[in-house]
Amino acid sequence: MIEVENLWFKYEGSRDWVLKNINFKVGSKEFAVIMGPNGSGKSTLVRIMAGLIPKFHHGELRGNVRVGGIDVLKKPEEVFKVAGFIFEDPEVQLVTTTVRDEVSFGPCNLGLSKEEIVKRAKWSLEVVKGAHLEDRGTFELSLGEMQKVVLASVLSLKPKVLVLDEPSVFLETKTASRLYSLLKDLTTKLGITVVVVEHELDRVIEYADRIIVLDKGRVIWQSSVENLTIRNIEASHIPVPLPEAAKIVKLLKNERLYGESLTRLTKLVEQDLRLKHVKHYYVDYKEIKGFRKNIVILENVWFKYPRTLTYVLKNVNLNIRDKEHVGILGPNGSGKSTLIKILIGLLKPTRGSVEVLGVNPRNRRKLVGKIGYVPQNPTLTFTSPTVFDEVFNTAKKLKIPNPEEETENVLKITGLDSYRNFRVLELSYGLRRRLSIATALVSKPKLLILDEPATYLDYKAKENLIRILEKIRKNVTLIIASQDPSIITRLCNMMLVLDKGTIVAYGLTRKLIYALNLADLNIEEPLIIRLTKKFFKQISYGPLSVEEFAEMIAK
Amino acid sequence: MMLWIIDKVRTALTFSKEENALSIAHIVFKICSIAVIFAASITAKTLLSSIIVLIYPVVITYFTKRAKVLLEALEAVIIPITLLILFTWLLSPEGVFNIFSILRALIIGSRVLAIALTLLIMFTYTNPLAISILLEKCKVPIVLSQSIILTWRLIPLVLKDFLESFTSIKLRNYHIWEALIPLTAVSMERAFRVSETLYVKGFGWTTRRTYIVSLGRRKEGLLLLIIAILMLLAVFVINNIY
Repeated sequence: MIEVENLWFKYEGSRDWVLKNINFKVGSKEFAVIMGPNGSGKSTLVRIMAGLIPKFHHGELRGNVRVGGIDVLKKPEEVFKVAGFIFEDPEVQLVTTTVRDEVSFGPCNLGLSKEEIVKRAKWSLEVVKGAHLEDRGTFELSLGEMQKVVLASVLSLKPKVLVLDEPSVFLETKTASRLYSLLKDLTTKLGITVVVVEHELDRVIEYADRIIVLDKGRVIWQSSVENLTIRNIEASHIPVPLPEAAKIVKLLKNERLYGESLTRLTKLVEQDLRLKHVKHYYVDYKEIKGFRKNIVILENVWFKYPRTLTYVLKNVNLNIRDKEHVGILGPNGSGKSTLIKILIGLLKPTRGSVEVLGVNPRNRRKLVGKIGYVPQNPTLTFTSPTVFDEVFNTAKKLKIPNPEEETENVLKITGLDSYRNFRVLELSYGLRRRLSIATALVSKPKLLILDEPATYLDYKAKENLIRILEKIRKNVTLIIASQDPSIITRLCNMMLVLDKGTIVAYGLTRKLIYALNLADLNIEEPLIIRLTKKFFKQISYGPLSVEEFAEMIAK
Repeated sequence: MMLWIIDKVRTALTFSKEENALSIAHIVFKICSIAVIFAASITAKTLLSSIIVLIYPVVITYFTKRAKVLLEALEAVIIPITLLILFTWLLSPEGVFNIFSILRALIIGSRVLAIALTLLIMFTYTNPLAISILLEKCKVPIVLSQSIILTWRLIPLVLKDFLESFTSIKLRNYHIWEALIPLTAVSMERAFRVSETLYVKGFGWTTRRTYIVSLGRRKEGLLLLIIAILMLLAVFVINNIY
């Protein structure tokens, strides 16, 4: 269904080839996953397959690409008839104002009859289990719902091939799993070939038939997913993040399982564990004694967006103390980002009161330099052309003594000193996020707020980000909104769980994560939490990282 | 203040998919009604006649059965229009302490308010697809007619980005206008993605498009137009009496 032969590509004005002699085939009804670190050429490759290159991005292109029988390089404008393409951000892919119009948009472009269009629109929404969304406006959808509508809008074109570029980037693990399960159904029930770009092996390993790994523009490994083992990954230096089960196996040095397929590893790890009766693993969190000031106070906060009938936040009461590290966890649409926007004064509660560092956050002048804010889209914070200028100008605006010295210091902490002369818009998403953190840190704020910091990051960039935040968190109160429990468990001593705008629980992360059933909230629990709950009965304080889990098993 | 205005404009420009007598009215009659109200507003020479025109947005709000839509539209325009009234009065050639200068400022303010409220309420309940169908029937090229839908879709998103950008840079002591720098970069990236999306969905592949949205019902449209014409007539009569 997809044939790529001797494909070379470099962007106009660039000396380096982004893709170097790429060769692979994906068969009919296959579910293929393209993996690789940021900058390995994954997105360029799928854009060529969708006919967007060289139509939208010019450059030198050599080789052959055939998708569903169409020669993409000769007739790129006809690819849409056989292949549907979905980008990472569903919000920009909704081009009309209602769901019905959106799913009909593609068939309308084909000039089909009204009856056929209505039939296809209904069918595609039913396939993605989104029939209930038909009468909704596109403005009122959650990200998970948007992703469903985008998928339906492409399915209504009846494609033979679906190409998705990081479709799970904005989705919580559970919704992403549902999306991949749906895509798997499309391959088995409708015979559609699916190609997905993904960073997290954990998310796709259950569904994928074939894995293609790119690094520095070359295919360095491709095979059936069954052949992916710890031994293969290590021997061939395949740049993919190890799934949690594989990390546990490695930490326990269980070499017997090194040759086993990663698809079976979780079950094998489970078999290796015996039922144990352990009440506490250990408690490393020492609550800081004595009086500490509440620096964030929310009282009876309610919020609803204009033109909507339901409240996004319902009667939220919250106190966050100085130097606490709070992770806000919740599924898509639970109100995490709305809560963050209220804390920085971007939104005014419909009812209730908010106090941040002793003032109403709408009074931004009093909070200048005291709050560092890193939005979901870091590009929205950049005002200067280069990395150094961005931090230095911020330091100057905030009238920080020795701005140059402080800039150097912050660039060093965030690992950006080697990128000082890079243009901000040429940075990868991971580096943009780090730069946004650097500008937030330059004033040494009392409170650092991050909205979905792991979005768009590959496993290396995510690990770098976690290390930076681990370094700086001692001296700052940290609030992180994330749908990824692994970030919160690693960085936050306190956890706030939101669901449908209501606080479900708030307390010590180590305790709460074992007391709650996150699956009920549509959040997939990290494997170590699942395993600990399953095999260590009545545990109330358990491990939070793979390393701690391995240590517990070893004991 | 600026943030508040932008937030209110964003709300007022957000399409509402609720179905009511205004949303189902025929698009041609809606546009004609707006034209008639525009004519009535610029014809209104007295304070009474300009206030009469202001009844029209209230009437169409009744059609929507949702009083809040009038309040939302009013919030979006009230500050610029108040400033317009104030400066028209202060800069009047007759001087500040003159009843004619006060009246002139109020008449101009009410005229602009009537037009602004009518436009905002009308377009809140108009599916942009209906406008593009109409334009296409008027032989406007498909690419131009479709750009209306996209503009409609993107305006609230761009304003949302602006608010977020403004808040984050304000916390770093930057000026409001500096938010335009990241906003431009993000909007360009967004626009580029939208054009890619249109391409992969086959937009522009053929000039023969099918539309599933109707232009609307004539009965409700006609009622809107008749009320607008009555307003225009009332303005003429009052202008001639006083």
